[in-house]
Amino acid sequence: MMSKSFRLLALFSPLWLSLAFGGTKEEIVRLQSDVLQLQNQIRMLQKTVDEKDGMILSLLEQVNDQVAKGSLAFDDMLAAVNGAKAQTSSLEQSMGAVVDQLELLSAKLDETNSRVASLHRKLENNQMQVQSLRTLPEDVIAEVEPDRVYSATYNDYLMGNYSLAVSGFQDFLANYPDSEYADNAAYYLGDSYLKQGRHELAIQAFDQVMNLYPKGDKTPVAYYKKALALEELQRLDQAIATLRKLVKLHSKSPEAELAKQQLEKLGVQ
Amino acid sequence: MKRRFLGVLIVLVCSLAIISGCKKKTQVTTRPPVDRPAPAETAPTAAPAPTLDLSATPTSIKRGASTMLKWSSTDADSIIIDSGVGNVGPEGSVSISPLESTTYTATASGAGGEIKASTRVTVVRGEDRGKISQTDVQALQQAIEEGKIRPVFFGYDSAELSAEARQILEENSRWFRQYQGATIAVEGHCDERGTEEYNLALGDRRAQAATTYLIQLGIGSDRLESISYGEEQPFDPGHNEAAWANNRRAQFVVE
Amino acid sequence: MKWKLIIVSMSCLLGTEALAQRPDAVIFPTPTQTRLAAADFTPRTSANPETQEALSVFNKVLFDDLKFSTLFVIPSKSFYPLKPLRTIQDVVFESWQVPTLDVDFLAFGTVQADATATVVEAYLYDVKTRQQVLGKRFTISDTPLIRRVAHEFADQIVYELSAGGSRGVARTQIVFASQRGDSKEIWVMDYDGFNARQLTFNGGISKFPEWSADNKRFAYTVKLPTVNRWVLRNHEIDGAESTIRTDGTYMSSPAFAPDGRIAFSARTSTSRDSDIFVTPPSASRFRNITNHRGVDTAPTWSPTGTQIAFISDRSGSPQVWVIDADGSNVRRIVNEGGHCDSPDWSPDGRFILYSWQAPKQWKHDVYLAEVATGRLYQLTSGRGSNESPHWSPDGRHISFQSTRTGKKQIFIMNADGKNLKQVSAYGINESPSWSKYPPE
Repeated sequence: MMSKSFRLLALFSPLWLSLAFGGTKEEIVRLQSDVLQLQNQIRMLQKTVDEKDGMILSLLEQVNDQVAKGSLAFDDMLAAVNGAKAQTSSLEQSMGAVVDQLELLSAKLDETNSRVASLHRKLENNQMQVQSLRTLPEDVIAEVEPDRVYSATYNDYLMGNYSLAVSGFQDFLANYPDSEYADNAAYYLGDSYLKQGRHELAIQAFDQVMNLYPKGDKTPVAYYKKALALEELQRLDQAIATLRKLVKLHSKSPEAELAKQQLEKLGVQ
Repeated sequence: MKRRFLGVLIVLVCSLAIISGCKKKTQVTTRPPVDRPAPAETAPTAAPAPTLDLSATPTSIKRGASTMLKWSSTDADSIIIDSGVGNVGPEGSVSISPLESTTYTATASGAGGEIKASTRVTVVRGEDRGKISQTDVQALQQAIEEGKIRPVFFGYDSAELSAEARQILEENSRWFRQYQGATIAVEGHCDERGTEEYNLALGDRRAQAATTYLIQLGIGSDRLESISYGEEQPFDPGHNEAAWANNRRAQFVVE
Repeated sequence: MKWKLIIVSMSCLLGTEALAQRPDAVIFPTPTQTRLAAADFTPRTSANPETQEALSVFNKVLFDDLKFSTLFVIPSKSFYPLKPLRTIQDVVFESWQVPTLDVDFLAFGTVQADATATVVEAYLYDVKTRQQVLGKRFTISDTPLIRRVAHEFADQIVYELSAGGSRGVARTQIVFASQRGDSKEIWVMDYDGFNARQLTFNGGISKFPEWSADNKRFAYTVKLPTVNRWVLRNHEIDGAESTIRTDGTYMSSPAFAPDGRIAFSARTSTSRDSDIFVTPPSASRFRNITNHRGVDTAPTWSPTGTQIAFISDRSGSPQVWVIDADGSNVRRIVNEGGHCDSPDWSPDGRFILYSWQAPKQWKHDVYLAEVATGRLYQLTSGRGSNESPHWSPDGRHISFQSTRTGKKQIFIMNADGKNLKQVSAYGINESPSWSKYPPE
């Protein structure tokens, strides 16, 4: 019993820390599964990189072997040529042929050398990748699958972990401003603020959605939620103006219907 | 030829209506005012006496239904209609739905005097009309059994009434009109290809489509019960297009 | 040499491609690594017939439960040491660490039945540290309860070893609609298909049962035999029932939010056709969440009750849509043509399970959509139509109805589509709803 608890404690010590900072049991479990997912992904990437490294190393060894063999043959031939020179000049004719062969061999050697150099560069590249993988695993994972990052962050939002969601969406927008999920991330950032009661920040975020993605499918609901945030701040005139703008600009959206109901509730048309 | 005959007919009917209308008006104006003060005393010049016409269409309704009360007047300063209608303009109409049979009386008053006109709206109690008659029930059940009242069929994933379906509903409605003393369940059914939840909703749309059309054809909404069975009760248990086509239906049950 | 390179790089490519599409890698991102052995329990004092019978049931149920949990690698019993285990003194830990077994944990114990009672002593040991993890004694007066004891011990092992990932589903139940005579009624059974019993006696048609989040009641749709109207019923665990009705004749598909609100679909005097409504638990105040031409039905709540997924044919054919519970931010999650139905939101919020019928086909299969990205994964294939999928409370399993063996029956499987098992056999059985965790 003891040992198991210890093992768990060691494995999930960051999680216990988060418990100390007020995390709930569910959050810990979720965090834990996030950590496990990340660890697993790193492991997989590491494995692929290791495999590739091994492959290139073995290629390099083979090439080196061949170069060495080539050199040996070259030496042999030189010795033979020298021997022939010393023995007789009647072999001068065949010498010409040997020289030709020699030139050919030396050209081949050059080619092999350049190949070895390029393989070396590749290996260095790979090693750099491994290095960055070891220091900044998130970045590498993100490069592989940005939608995994979006998906995990959206799940934090959905499950009500709004502070995690806020930092997740902020990072996502900073790293992938051109992603197909960028407008969604901008909207859900605003809604995470709204659900946290940080109304000023929510309004700014919803304004971003309207300004950056005026034709995006999240724009009508950004107007609607912005109006709700303004209402919370008792800025009723601005809330009404926002709702009216929504009805005017996106009259066909379902949010326009909600806006009309909201205007009615506020006693205006 | 036909059209000319129709034109003549219209002219005839119109002139008849005008004549009869004039006749009515004359009747009203010639009727001696009841408590009209001597005109000579109140006005030095004789003001024309007001005229008033009041009617209801139809004059007989089912309880809960409504009828249109219509009036027109001349030379009246004010018109009051009793039984809760109140002050109204010189001419107009209002939809009313009295719960009991009621006589509506309008009073028009002007410089030329005062005049009253009345019309009676008869309210038929729902129970009287909706009363179940065993003979009617049996007659309709027999018509269903003999295939005289027929189900209507729908396309795949559709609740639209085809022209053929409308024609069948029109034929069915004659039976329902002839035998008033029966309530009709309009059942919506689906084929097995859809899934459970969607099919229960789709069956409801089919039952609703048939019910709505029957109401348009004049069958009282209180006699029709629309109910979805989804894919619960296939007509044909087979698993092929012919069976499925038979199962996408709205059918009629009298109990 | 060149060829080797190409082949290697191609296999890398295929490897990552397949990884993205295989549901198991997405649903179970951390593969099972804990190795567990469940040794056959043995008689404590005497192998009388009652004990033998109880043992054969107990050993099978415990082994099946643990295997079904998806949380362990369980080596075949044929590799186990032959020596029967009664107490810790009988355990030779080295013999459980040979390469063919190499288990991390070992479950064993005894069962003893006599005329008055059955006693089960059950242990779980950490093989590496040789420490006891669990030690339990269960006493039951009725031998048929032996299944329950095995389920309970299995759940304790799962809870102990999954580090909070699951509380175990061995004691969960499944409610479903069953036609075994003229009427279709609501039944309940253990998750593994045993102990099936009828819960409603309405006559007519009862459908779409759905458990509440607190596991204390379920709601269902019913049409009584002589009444042309569908209503919803709340069925408490003690059998008490209450009715929810609108002014329309169509109501369907109840679903409970975590706080007890009920979403359902209905046609009322304010809606032309099937729309989504929400009512508080104990009041008949209905709020329109959707009011759209066409069918909106089959609502399911997100785990925190902030969003509702549902089926709508507003875009042509029925597809999976999601809406915030305040009626804003409606969006389509699945847009594949064909017909979607019966969505069910996963307990961790990441996925929506649903059935899909490809255009111009007539069989349905069970699919999974990732909510954030709309990525789709197919979970069933092969014979018959597979519909009405539903999550287990730990999100590691799925129940659904299938015609793959003839008439509609209930099946369960892992959430990645593996390990399929039929759990109903009599009559026609449909619309399974897996219960939440049993109370502690």
